Amino acid sequence: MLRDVRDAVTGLSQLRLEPISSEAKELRVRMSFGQKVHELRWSQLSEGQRLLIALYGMFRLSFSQASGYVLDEIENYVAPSEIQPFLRKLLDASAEADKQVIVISHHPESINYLAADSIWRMWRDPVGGHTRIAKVEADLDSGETAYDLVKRGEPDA
Amino acid sequence: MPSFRLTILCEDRLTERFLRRLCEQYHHQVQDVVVSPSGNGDASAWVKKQYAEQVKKRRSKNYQKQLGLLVCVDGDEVGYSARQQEMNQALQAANIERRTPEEPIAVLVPTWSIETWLAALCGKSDIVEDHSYKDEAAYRSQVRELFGDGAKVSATCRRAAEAWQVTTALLPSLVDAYAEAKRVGM
Repeated sequence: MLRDVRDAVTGLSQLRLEPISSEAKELRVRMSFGQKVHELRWSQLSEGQRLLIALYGMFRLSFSQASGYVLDEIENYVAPSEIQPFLRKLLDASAEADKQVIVISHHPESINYLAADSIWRMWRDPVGGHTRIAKVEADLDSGETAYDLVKRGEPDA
Repeated sequence: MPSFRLTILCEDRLTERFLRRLCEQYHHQVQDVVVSPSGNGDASAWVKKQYAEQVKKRRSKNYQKQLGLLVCVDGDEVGYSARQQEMNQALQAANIERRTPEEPIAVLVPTWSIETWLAALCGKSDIVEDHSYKDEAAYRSQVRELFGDGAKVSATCRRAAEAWQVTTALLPSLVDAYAEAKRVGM
């Protein structure tokens, strides 16, 4: 797991659990930049760093037990370039183990990358108030991306 | 040869998985994957449309010598030679200069499709380029065991990547690709 997180979080060199009471431990993170080493508490990390550690941790520690994954807006707080590497790892592992992955997203990076498999748009029907769903199918000859369609609110029927 | 940081542009997930395996083999870092969405129409047309855009992006960072672009588009019934021409024309249509010989932009054209290459690289005999191992039932049955489920596909991609530049019983499109791939150190 640590190798994945090291690739994703610049400078991260160690994760360890520090006892803070007889019953509780806190996750501490060591960041190394050349000769400089910083020991940080979980609360001192940025939202993005915490999210990346949580995502890779979840993937490495729970993947073998899970029959499927549902990820909801995992792009919050992270840079666009940090999303795809995680999705690649997850898709490779799920394809190999024949597991299902459902990603809920508004982000172009996720939508366009996952559109090679299958993208569905969900929206609230303006009249009935119920939820509708339809498959997003790009016109490949025009070169449009799946996000182009979603941005235009298509498909809408 | 230094390691490259590559953008992969391709038609489908299977091609992407094979190319990423190939990059691992050569210790290149995959920076970004641009893959055709599922949809209506011709995925090779989609790749051609995106090609000019990706070449422009690559050239805007010419000062970063280790950046490369690895493009893969099926030859289908058109064939690898005509497809390469189409890719050149796609640049011309966007008023973009053709690739120079030293530019780290490689265009691979598996013909008929990536399934053909994977079968050939995995040692299947009598593999031909003028039929589809994806769409024609009679041909698909010859390679069924390579693509049965996710684990088999993964193993097939790994074996094929290991055979890259090693397998010498070659399809013409693979000969062309071996030369092309040297542009990005593979």
